[in-house]
Amino acid sequence: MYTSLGNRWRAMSKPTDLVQGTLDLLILKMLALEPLHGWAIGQRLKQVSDDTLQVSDGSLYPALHKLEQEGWIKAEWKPSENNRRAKFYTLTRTGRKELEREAANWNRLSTAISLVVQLKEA
Amino acid sequence: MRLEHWFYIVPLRLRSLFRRGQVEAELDEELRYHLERQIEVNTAAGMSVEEARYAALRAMHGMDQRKEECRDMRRVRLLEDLWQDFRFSLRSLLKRPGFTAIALLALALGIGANTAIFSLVNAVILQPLPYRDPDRLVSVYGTRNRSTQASVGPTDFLDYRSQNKTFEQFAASGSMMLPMNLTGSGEPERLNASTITGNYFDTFGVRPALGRGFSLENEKTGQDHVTVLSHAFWQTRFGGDPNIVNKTINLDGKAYEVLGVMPAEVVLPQPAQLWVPINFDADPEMKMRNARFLRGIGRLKEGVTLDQAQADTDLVAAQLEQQYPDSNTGWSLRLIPLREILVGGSRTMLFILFGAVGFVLLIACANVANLLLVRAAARQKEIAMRTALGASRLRILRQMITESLVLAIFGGVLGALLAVAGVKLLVSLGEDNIPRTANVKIDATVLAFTLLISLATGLLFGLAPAIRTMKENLVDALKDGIRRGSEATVKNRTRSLLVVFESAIAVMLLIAAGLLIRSLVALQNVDPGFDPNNVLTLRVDLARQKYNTPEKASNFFAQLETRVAGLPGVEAVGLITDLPLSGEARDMPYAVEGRPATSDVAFVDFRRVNKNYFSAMRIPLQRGRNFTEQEVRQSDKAIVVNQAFVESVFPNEEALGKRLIIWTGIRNEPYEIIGIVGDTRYQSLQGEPSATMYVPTREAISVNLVIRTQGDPLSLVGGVRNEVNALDPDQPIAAIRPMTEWVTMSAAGARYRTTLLGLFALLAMILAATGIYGVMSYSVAQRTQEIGVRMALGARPLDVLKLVVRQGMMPALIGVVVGLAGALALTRVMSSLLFGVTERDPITFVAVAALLIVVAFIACFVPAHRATRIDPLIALRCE
Repeated sequence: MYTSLGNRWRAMSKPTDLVQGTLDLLILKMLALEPLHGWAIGQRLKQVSDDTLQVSDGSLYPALHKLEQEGWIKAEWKPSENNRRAKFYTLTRTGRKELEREAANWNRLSTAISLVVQLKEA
Repeated sequence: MRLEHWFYIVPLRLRSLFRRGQVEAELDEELRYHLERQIEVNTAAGMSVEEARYAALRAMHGMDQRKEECRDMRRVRLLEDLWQDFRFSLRSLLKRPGFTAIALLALALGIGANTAIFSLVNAVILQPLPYRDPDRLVSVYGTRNRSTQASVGPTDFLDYRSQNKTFEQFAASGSMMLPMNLTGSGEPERLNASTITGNYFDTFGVRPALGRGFSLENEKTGQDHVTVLSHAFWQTRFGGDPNIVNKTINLDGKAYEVLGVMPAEVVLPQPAQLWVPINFDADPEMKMRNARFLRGIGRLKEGVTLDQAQADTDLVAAQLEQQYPDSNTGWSLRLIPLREILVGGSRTMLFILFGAVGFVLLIACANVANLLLVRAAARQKEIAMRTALGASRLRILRQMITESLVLAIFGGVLGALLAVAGVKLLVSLGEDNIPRTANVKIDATVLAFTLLISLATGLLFGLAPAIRTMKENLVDALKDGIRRGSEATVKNRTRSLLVVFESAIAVMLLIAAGLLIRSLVALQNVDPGFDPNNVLTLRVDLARQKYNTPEKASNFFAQLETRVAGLPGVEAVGLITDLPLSGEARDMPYAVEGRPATSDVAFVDFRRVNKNYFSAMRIPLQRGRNFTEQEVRQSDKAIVVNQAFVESVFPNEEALGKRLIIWTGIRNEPYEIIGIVGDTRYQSLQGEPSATMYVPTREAISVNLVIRTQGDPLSLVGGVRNEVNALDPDQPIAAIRPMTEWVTMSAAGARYRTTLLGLFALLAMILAATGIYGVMSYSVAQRTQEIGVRMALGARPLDVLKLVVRQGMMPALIGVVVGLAGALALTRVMSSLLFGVTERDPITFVAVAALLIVVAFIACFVPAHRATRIDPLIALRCE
């Protein structure tokens, strides 16, 4: 009761179940393929990863808003597939550069981790 | 790339800030869309609508928290919070108008006083002098044996000017104003002219706005009848005539060509209505090395220090000493930075005033801090509630500080408004007592200072209560429980400390003010050595060209004397060259006949008077006799001296009958002492009367009339003016005042600083009293229940009274003791401003201590009295 409820002025996406920063990379990649709205991104993530990547609905939106505020993606209101107004996100030019950077980072990291994991035990 | 980035970011941030409603609506819509889709999916999977909705919400892990997270992403949180805090502060201040008004009043007074005094300090001390490279300007005085500060002789000046190697410019002005009579078109007018060398303006680096200034050529006969007008005189007399340059005006009966007009903003150290060049060939006085009447001003060459310049002029002085031992033995120059001359004298006073208002502001801070502490106690529950609802402690601290800052800034705005009025008052009261008052204004520098002290004040009085609140135990506060005795004590201790602090500072200020008041009283009780009541003074300056022989001047004044003496209500008509306490004075070198000559020339305060001067001023003749009418008419070689002269020159001898050699004009002739009169304070009311010598005359060109009247002296002005006009319709009269006004004016500086410091001390005392009253009122309210219990158990009203008063008086008494100790340490800085009272004057210390104790007692007694009327039954039930 006496503790504070979080430092709320730190801007950071909070994936509950993903490596820090990975969610950003996934979202950028999804949007590189086509413009999507939030719900569709969530669905798509589940589909392509065979439900391995359980991104909670709660953490998706703060991440989207962060990327938007960074200028990496931009939002646009358009009619969705069921003909209702939805907020569609598109990758921007700087967002594409960020995606390349993040993807390269990810490759380096995952290669390194694979190498470590595959080390033979003596 | 970077640019493109900002191209996206900036509009987004601005949108988040200023289109908040729309951004929020979009957030809602986006999340609603998500929910609806999720609900559709869930119902399709067989859930009821209610279940589907619930599951969708659960998947968000708390809708509102997610929204907050999204808002956090907007990166404008800090600004938003600030704005929110600001609005919240305004609301909560408006909700308690009483508290806000009292706090604002205290702050406005404190900040206003500081702003006003700072504007003085800024204009007088901080701002550079309004001349080119002002730090290179030095005032040049003559000095004998390096101990006096006198004028420089004209021939000496020329030698210094041509032989020095360290000055870029070396100029001078007459140490006294030259009265000139303007005639011709319109009323005759007496003007204050400043006589200056040709390079005077260039030395300061100022030049006329219209026309041109003087050159060295104008120091020669034939070129010297030229003048430069001041802006004010040009406006008032010539209506700002743009074609004034090259026209001639009539001064002392001679035509002077107007060369130029000075700009309005140029203020030279000797303000004058017009300037005329010094003609170094004009008359034999100009060739006398003994006649010293110039005030020098020099501009040092780039990179030359004051010491180097002093050494340089000392070399010239040594040569002059060898060449002219009679007149120059012991004489050299004393160089003092101009800034020191102009503002040095008022620095102590300004810093004392600045310190005083600083103290006033500290008391105001203590008062507001106390009010905030009381409020914080009342808001404990509110704050505990907000903490429980998730506000971080830092957030609440920030909110409280914001509230203090908002209060302080509004106080600052009000203070600045007060200061605008205050500055006008300061300037109008202090015009003659503070240099450079024309510069005093509330400008950007002053406002920046106001903002700075407002913020500092806000932090100062806001921090303590905020930290205090942070330490509160949340659970206890929420439980709204039993009074917690120990904590109440801690808080009361903080408040008691504030009372100690306030009383101590008030005591120090009151003592400072008390010492000045005692000094002023002492000054006003000084016997000037004459009776200033019922005496009218006025000045007649004859035009040199019209009254060009001593006989003409003498005749004029003889006739005027007779005519004025014949006016009804006139008892005696005295004449004197330099009026007491008017700032006019001249020193006369003299030697006692028969005594061996020494290299040290003695000087004495010298005044020419007529026979009736002593009776008009009621200066008692102690021994010997007064001048006769015959001696006055012929300017005979008779001298009357005062008691101080006898004591210093003839301590063990009979002074009457002794002969003195004095240099009047070009004659060195022995004068005989015929009478001894009482001492008179001619120069100032402070200090001992100086040795004075009176010589009979009526032939001076500028004379003051001192007219002893039976009734109101001012009622005579019309009559005197008629008599002057009857003798010479072109002759103006000036400086028409009752003698009492000269006396009052000579104490004006003392009165000014006493008034100001007294005002601030009074303010401090009132603030301290309200502070004590506030603390006690709150304490009584807090202890209502306890007092009720005591009374129910049989305590009499007197016991309750004692209880409360004792609680309040303890810190006040400690404060008084601390204040007395502080005053003992601090009043030393003001010793130069005191007169007739020591800096540890016991009467002041005791009186101030008593005053503060009485005031504190009243401030405690009122709430204590209220406490005695508490009805025990109601008190016991009130919780």
